Amino acid sequence: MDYLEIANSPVLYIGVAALIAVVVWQASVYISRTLKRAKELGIGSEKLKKAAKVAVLTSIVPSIAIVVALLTLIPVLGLPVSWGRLSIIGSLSYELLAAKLGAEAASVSLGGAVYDATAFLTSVTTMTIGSFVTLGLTIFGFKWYKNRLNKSIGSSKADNPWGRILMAALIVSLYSRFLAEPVVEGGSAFITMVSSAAVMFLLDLLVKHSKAFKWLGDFNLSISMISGMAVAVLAGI
Amino acid sequence: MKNDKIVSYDEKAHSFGKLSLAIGWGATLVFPLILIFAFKIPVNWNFVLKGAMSILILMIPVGLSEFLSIAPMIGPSAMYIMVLTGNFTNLKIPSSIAAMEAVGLDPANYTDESDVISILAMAVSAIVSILIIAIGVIAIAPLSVFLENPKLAPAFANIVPALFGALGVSMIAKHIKLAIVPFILGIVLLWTGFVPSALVLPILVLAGVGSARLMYKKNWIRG
Repeated sequence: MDYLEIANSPVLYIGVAALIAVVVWQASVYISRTLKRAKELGIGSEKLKKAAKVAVLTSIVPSIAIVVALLTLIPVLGLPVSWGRLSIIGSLSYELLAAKLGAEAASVSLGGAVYDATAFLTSVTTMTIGSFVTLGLTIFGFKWYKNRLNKSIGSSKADNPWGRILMAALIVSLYSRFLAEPVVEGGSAFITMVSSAAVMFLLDLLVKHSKAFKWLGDFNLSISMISGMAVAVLAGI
Repeated sequence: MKNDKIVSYDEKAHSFGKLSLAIGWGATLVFPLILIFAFKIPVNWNFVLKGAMSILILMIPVGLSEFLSIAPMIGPSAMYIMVLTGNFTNLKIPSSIAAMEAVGLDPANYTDESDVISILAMAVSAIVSILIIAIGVIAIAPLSVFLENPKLAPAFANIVPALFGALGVSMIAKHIKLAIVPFILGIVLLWTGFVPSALVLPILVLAGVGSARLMYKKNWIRG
């Protein structure tokens, strides 16, 4: 049997179903607990609905990008494994890398002429084993790490200015990583980033200073992103 | 009393989080197990070991540095959601930050309310993502014709710059002094290639926190 016949076999959708079920289960439990906690803290339902709405809107474009990533993986790994693995834990770059390392371990090239069922299995085991690193760190080390951090930052941030600055510094450093990259890369990445930033800046001004455009606030991020991406397309033409 | 409640809430978040991650990883074993037992594909343990060694050598430092950098920024529940579903920087963190800002919270000033909003946003984001991917799979044939149009390629190749360009504006504007060192250092490190790309984030986090501490001590910034 050609490996792709196996890779696209309907039986593998059991794996997809299992992975999707875990994600939906985890998300549902956390949503239910968080809504209960919101009630305890006196957070109004309007705020929660708004937060959920913005989360939905913000997720659409990046999720479409994941579908595009799926199109890249399917010819090599078949639909079920690509779908299942991109829905959970992984990203395109990780899955491709791990699949490639698995193929190399089997002394063949990924998706090549001699890439057979055993090589495919090796790719899948490599992808599976590698994804345990972050999972394992979180399962065994996160609680301890978080408790240590909380002790050093202090539990009450209201009277702990350093705690607030530390949080801001962490987030700004994360952002800097991803803002520096397009600056160095130049070209369409840089144009996209600047366009997206410019649109966001303008929309923020509109929302702040015009009551008529207040509704735009929920769509700021999506509009800015799509504008930036559109500029990238136009620049490429 | 209040502290006991918070502690208990966090404890439950950790317990459930660990359980869900363990079950999640167990679910990823379904693929290789089906291949081995349903299709009877012979397992070459030598290959499996070699593949495992290669990926672990790479993922242990990368996973560790990502974990150490990101874990301080978010609450327990949000971390477990993020780790299970992946796509930290392009999906989960932006959803969380956008949701917090939409309800008037400062993402850099993490409170119990921020925690609630963040968890809600990330969990909703996880479900939306699953749905959109499922729709994408069902519509895969006509979609692939549209999405694989080479003219659209620059759009999808630049999603992360688009995202961070938009998010960066308000975050950097609010914290310019904190951004100077990590941003400039980020440009230098990426341009010169002195360090592997995977190490840039933890270095910037150390530099960002270090410079923030220095500025705080010198009273150049106030919390």
